[in-house]
Amino acid sequence: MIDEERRRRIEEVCVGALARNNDDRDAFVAASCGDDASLRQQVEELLAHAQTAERFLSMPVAAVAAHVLGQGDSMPIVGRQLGSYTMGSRLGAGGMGEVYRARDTKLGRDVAIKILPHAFTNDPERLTRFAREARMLATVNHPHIGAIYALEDIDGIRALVLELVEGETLSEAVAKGPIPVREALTIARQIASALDAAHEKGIVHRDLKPANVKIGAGGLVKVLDFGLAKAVAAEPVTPDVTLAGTGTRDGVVLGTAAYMSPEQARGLAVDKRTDIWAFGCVLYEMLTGRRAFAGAGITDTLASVLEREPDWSALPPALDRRITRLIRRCLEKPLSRRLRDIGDAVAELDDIKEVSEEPAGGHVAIARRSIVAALLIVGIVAGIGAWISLRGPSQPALQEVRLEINAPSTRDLLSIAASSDGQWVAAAADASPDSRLWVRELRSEAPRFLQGTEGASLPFWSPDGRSLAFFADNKLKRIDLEGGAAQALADAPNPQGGSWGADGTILYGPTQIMPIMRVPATGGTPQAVTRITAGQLGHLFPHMLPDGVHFLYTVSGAPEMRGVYVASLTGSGTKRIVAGATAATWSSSGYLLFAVNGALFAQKFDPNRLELVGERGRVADSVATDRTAVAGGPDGMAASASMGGPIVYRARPPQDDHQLIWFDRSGKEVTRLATPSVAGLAPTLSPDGRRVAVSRLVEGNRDIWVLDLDRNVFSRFTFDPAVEMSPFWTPDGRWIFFASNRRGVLSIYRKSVAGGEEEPLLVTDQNINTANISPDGRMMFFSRADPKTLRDLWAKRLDSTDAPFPILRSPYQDLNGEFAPNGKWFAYQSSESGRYEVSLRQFGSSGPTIQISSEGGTQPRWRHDGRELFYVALDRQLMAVPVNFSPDAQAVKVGTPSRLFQTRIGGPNTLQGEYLVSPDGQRFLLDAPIRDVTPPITVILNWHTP
Amino acid sequence: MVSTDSPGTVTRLLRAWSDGDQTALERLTPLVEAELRRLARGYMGRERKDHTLQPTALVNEAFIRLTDARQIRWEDRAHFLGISARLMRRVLVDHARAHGYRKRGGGVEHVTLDEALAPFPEPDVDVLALDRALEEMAAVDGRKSRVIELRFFGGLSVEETAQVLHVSSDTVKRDWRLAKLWLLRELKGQRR
Repeated sequence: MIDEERRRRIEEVCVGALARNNDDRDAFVAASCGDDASLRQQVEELLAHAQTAERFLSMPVAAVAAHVLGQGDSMPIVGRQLGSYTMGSRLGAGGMGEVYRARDTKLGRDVAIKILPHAFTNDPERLTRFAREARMLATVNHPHIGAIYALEDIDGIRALVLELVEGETLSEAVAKGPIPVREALTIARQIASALDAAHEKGIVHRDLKPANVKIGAGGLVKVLDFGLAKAVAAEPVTPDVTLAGTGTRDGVVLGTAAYMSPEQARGLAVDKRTDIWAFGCVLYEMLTGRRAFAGAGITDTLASVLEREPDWSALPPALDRRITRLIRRCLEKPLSRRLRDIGDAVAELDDIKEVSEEPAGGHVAIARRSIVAALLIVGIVAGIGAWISLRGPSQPALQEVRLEINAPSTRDLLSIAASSDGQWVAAAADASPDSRLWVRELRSEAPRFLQGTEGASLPFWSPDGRSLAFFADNKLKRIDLEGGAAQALADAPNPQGGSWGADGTILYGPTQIMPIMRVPATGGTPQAVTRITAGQLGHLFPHMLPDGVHFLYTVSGAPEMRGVYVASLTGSGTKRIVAGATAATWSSSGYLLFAVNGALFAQKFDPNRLELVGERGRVADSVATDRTAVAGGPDGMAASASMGGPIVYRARPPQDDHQLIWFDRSGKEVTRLATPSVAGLAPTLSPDGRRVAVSRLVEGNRDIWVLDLDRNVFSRFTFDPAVEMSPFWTPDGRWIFFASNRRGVLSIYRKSVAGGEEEPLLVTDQNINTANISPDGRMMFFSRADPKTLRDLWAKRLDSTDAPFPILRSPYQDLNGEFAPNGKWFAYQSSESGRYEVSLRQFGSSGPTIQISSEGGTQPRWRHDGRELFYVALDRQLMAVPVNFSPDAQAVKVGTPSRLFQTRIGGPNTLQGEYLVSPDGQRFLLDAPIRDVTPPITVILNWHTP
Repeated sequence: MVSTDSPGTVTRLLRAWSDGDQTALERLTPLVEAELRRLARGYMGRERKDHTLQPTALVNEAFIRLTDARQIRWEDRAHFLGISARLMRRVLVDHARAHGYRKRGGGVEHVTLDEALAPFPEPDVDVLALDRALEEMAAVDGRKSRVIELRFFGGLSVEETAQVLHVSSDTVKRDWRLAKLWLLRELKGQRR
């Protein structure tokens, strides 16, 4: 072993050597080691790995742990010996764990074993209570009740040993259609008798439904899972819970909504009459083949339970009136009028059965219900766990907890919203095939993707949590979570967020350069509610305050105007409340949350004086403020809070995971440029092909940098603290043009590659960006923002002082114009169809537009000879299209796009270039995330105010 | 896989382990692994193959599900991250070992993650050899071994690693570079 001092010396020399380039390294080592040959050998042995070490362990294994661990087979329960039980096949899974068939080798009988989930067994208190309940349930011995044999603790696995009941469940039977009356009554009689026996012992089932009733051989009926609903409750059910909408409280385990009694749905105390209600539901369903209370979703189903009557006409016409009356008495909503004792039903059924005749008609007459729909509802209900009650008055101050939940892949980081009750989060995914909105109950495990929200962004919730508003296809839209198509409310071609007030007013920012607008959530004519004043560029990210009159919004523009403002829907004045901040939102407890320099802050807000009071406190060091992981300056805030409590936000993703990589046409990686590009943008190649200019974000400052491809070294090219972006190398190789906002609005600047000043070239009163220069160097193309026509394409002669002139002014986004190598045509991307498509037009002519892409496209780039055009499809495939100009360049033939390879660049909201093409069109330099890291969503519970 | 000598909750085991009971870790690992795998399968089902998770999120989420987060008093975030990384290492090494046994009937040499890492070009990482080399390194230079554990197994950033170890970011960067050189030399020696 090497002694400590020796080791330190070796390290010292290594560190010194690593700090030098390859050329100087040897000399340095030689000089440092002098004639200590052993030291030199040790150092050289280590340095031999210097190159490999760069990439060695660079991908944290934690990041691929899911792949590694997920590859294994499932936990090998099947076939195992658990104590005296030999585990057999898996029978199914329920909210309470997975059920397996097993052989009890001690008693020589087959049993069913329910393995309780860890989350459950790890709570000693819950487990104790469960054991107590299970013991009591085990004392019930009845031919129509599935027996509980034992609660075992084997090798740390908690397992409930149950009677194995073979056969079909009643829900399977009834899915085929109504059950003939006589058979239905026989089944009902057995269920009622099971309930009667349990009620005698003071045990209530609480979750009676067809899925819990098994019909075995010879029609023997067994009711399963008796009393388990209560036993698994996290705490004794208390009668002080009210349930609004779908909300519930810790401890209330919901049965399937359709069979819930009104008192259960309200979260009230439950007694045996709840079972009587469920019995009525089951009997009704057996006879009609449909549910007594149904709805499109859980909320609707519960509303149906609470407010509506079953469709009595669906019962078989010839049905004995006494049966109808029995069902009606079971389904009385007020407890006082409901059948008091299931024993009465037993007696009634015994009477009826003797006289009843089976009516004609039958098993197949009524259309089958959708099993899928039923399963869906069950799934949602299973997902409704219980959210920790956050504001229990009797509870002591709770410890603040921050949780991270993984979210589906996206680069649209700002699209995140907490529901007003704080139980749900909505966000956007942008990875094909699921580039849709998803919603997730915080306590559940899986997101649910919403149909009809393809390409959507910036969702926000309705106050009742039943609907979402969002932006897609250049529109503000809304969709009801319980189903139905999305409905367009207003135009919003470049959306900047929205907020939904309690009175049904929606505020939204339609573009980056417009005032905040209002529109009724039911549709109507949009009206501006703010006015853009001098020095301001646009109004963004409105947020309604709880009084329903005042709202917050963010102002962009000149530095002295930027910040969060408050205004009133009555039009009575507006004022800035935080300078330099972005996108405020209101949290419970009267605090505003806002982002400053990428950190999330909170400060108390005085709603009377409409100003912030007290000190601001830091909530999170990092919150994403860019629309995407690669975009420029702050344009929002990936944080949301709700009256219900939790704050949800997304941290800024790591900025060091972008890299410039050369790919060939098949998508094979050719060269990875060793220096990470740190979220670069818009790479442009020098005409000699030896250097690349790119906009990089380094330590929070976006500048133009130049990468020497031979030496693989970056050097900084612009030095202003403002944002510099969209570089373009002039065809003569002497200048780099770029956009900078150092004067408030983005303007075009240039700087000589040989050095010198960063000089303004074109400054207007609007944002102008993405300069592109004709091959002869005489004409410059750029995109110009316009309050009315969004982004337009303009041109300016570089060899004269003539004013710039518009090339394409449509009411859509037209941008990323790129001259064809012949200088007579140009390709660009336009949102005219509702999504970006790449098109081709003749420069300076009103000729037709030739659409190139077919399934959406952004970022057109030419091969040097003009015979091929590339673009990125919305699903991030790099596409190639053959183009054939006539010799006089007056006509063009365009081929069919073909896909080259899947990239990680592009997407529906792309405004910037993210790749360049080698002159021969054989290689592509992509500025791409080297991996697809979507920052998780952080949830803060019991947030402690600063 | 799930076999603990005495039954205990994850919460209790974590506490015992924090108090210095090393056997608690032995019992904790399979519980955490089972949960991680369950979560992992969920993600695998939903995500594209090349999707990677935010490194600390998976183990984080596993803890949330296994424990009542409010009942554990993490000293601070650094404490939590440190424990997560250690557990992640244990889980992955155990997994690699079990995988190797199953696949090769006892031979456990050179179980690499290259299959899982296929979308990301990366030199093969022999997890078991790395684990052994880290243990050897720990005997000589505990901090460097921890830096590798935190960054590679735990997915922590330089800053987070610095917080956990109470050193500066520069120290972490320096340790990280040097430790990788030592490890590469060690691993190369072992393979030959």
